[in-house]
Amino acid sequence: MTSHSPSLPSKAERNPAAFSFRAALVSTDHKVIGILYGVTALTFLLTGFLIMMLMRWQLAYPGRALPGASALFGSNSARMPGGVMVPEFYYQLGAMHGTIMVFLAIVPLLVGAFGTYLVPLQLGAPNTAFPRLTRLGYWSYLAGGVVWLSSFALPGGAAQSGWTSYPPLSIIAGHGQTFWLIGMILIIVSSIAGAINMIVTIIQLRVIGLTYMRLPFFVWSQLVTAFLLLLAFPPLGAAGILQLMDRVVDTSFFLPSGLVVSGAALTANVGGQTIPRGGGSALLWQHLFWFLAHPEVYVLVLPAMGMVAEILANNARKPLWGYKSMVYGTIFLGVMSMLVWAHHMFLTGMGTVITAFFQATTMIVSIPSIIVLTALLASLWGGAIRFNTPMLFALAFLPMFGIGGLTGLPLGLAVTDIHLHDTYYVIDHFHYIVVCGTLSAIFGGIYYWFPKVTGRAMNERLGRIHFWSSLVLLNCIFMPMFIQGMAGVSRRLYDGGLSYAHAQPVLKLNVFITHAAFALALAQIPFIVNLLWSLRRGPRVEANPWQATTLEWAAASPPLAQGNFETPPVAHRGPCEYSVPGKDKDYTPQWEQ
Amino acid sequence: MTTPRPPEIPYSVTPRPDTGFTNAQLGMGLFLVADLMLFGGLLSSYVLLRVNAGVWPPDQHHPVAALGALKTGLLFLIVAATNAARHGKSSPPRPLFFWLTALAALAFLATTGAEYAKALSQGMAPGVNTYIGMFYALTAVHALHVLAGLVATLSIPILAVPLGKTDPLRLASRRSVTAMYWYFLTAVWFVIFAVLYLA
Ligand code: HEM
Ligand SMILES: [Cu+2]
Repeated sequence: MTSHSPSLPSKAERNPAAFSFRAALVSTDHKVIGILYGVTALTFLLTGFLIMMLMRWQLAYPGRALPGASALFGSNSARMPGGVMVPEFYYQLGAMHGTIMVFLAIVPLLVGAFGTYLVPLQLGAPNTAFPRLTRLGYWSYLAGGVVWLSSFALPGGAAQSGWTSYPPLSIIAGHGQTFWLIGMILIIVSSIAGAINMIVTIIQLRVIGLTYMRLPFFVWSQLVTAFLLLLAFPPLGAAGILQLMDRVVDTSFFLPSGLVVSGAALTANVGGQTIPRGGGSALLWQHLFWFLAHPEVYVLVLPAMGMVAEILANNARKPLWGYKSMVYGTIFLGVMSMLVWAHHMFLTGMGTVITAFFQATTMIVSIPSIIVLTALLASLWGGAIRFNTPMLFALAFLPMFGIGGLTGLPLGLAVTDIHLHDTYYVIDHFHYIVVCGTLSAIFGGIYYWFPKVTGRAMNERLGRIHFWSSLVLLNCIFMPMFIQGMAGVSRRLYDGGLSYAHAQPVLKLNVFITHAAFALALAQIPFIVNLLWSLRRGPRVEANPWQATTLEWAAASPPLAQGNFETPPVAHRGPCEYSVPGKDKDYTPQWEQ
Repeated sequence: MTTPRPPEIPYSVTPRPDTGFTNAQLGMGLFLVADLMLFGGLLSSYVLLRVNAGVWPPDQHHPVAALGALKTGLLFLIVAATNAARHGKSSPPRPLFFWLTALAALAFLATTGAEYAKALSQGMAPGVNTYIGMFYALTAVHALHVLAGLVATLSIPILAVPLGKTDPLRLASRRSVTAMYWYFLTAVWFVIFAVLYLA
């Protein structure tokens, strides 16, 4: 390129709020990459949602043609011949709904978008510690997502062994599973790069005066989350490599001996000879998988707690009650979460001693969650609460997370888990946490930090419509699933239980749930309209519109394109000094003398 | 109006006083913790498969211990050369030893390649049994790490040494971080060597 004219300011410099896509592609600025993460992950969230709607149609009306399916898939497609979903396609959708939602939507929103964007600002830092690593993390994440989505176009379709990819099924499955593993390895690279960057940024780039006990609780939640990602993802990487070898070079790490598939013994062609496969252990995969995946469920909720804590303190105009116990509780939670994985395996016949151990650790790990929840609740006491949209979402998080958490206890006890394992009760338990809880927190976070990111406020009225309709509909969707689960309806049934006698009394609920889910889609329209409209037309705001105390509000809205702050701020006090007696205003920012 | 330059990231070359680390040192330390979990996952899979198997090794197939010993020797050479490349604040960097490190790493990879070729020609494919499968998994993952180390080491004489003439601190930091990595790979190799070649 020779048309290089250094005198002309770039589009982003002329108008810092303008987001240039060409510049974003090569940027190493944490704000730009945070926004890229956010936009990408919201798109994946929508994708996972649309996939779920296809599934919900099939569950409510098994075997009935989906109106418009022929237009969408072609009238003689192998997936939906005549508009009716074949079982294999349902299993692909199920596996990919879970995979996309966890690894491409929720975690990238919490950690990639909010974490990457906000943490350096809350630390008073100019960028992350390793800007190029931030960029690598994003692109590796996007590549993983593209690999996963493209696998739907394979002749045999996408992975269909659930988001858990249990062998032996996952090893004898079609090529979609190989794509799943390759995508997963890219996601692991992205997560580990992001986790290292996050930890180093927090430890090294804290501005003068910002001691550990002055860090906003959100930063603490991100720090513990990053450690979980750092320690839990590599073993899944090991498992992924071994499963890839089982599929590609015919090893049998996860294949027990004597396996018969479709009436024939499973064999491999090794060095010109045909030998039976076997000698491995299917349970080995489950251990390695859940060693990641249980900490992963805390990754799905800790940053949400962090965001809720910020929003709650700000709008209750009160300091967080028991900040220190929240911090220590979160650290304890992080440590314990690495010791509970086998509570997903009570039904594998591990033996009573191991079962008793994991049952005990599971009960213990619930204590710190309750401490944090209690502290958040107590922080509201006596506050002059501002009920704006972010606050409504943050408040809704508390009971929703509470329901999700409490319904987990019966699953952590082996006796009750025998009945509940692999039913819709389990599906429902974790959806209360990740959808009703975490997703609420994410929406709250978007409404709360949107002014910081764009310099404009979102519309309150649309926000309230979005909030109330979503809250009601979410509970319409998920309350009935508890009933189905307790009646014994299994998860991962492509007919929603139609062929099972014991499911008949609760089958009608499927229709109700599906209608509520479709209505929930409509309820997101005010949000999407609000987001796009406010981006251009929302009223302009100054640096600190919520009168908040943490350092991101010391920067302009939006912060400077390079380096965030005019001059690096200095932290003089703790993160949530609201309504300090004797002060003339009800908030004392960290950066004020 | 001038184009704003990307901001200088604090503690990129000098350690932060209260933590005692540069960003890169802490980052590499964390990476090695993650990597330990990766090898830990593979090695505990090995242990579980071995415990579950009745006979171990399951049949006559066995990797050649002499080749394993040769690879051990090469790793020692790598560590020694990386250490010798250390330089003081005033003394100039010594690119020669980085080249030597890279050469030893290249020899390591070549040995691995020869080892695989020989094994495959004798019918010792990964699918023969889980022990041989583990042999390929562990040595291949380790060799990929050596390859990454090779690239990182080569980047020093090619990219960083010219720069180090003006900024010796940055070069010293690059060297010390690669050295951490090689120490780690050597330590992990001892375990791999013991469980695979001496089994
Ligand atoms: C309103 C939104 C959502 C609805 C209505 C919904 C609905 C469902 C349903 C009905 C299933 C069960 C499929 C079956 O067992 O056959 C399912 C599975 C699952 N969902 Fe969601 N989901 C939603 C959002 C999410 C989100 C945000 C996550 C993010 C973490 C998520 C993660 C999962 C996972 C991990 C599975 C298990 C997949 C498997 O069986 O392997 N879902 N969802
Ligand atoms: Cu768990």
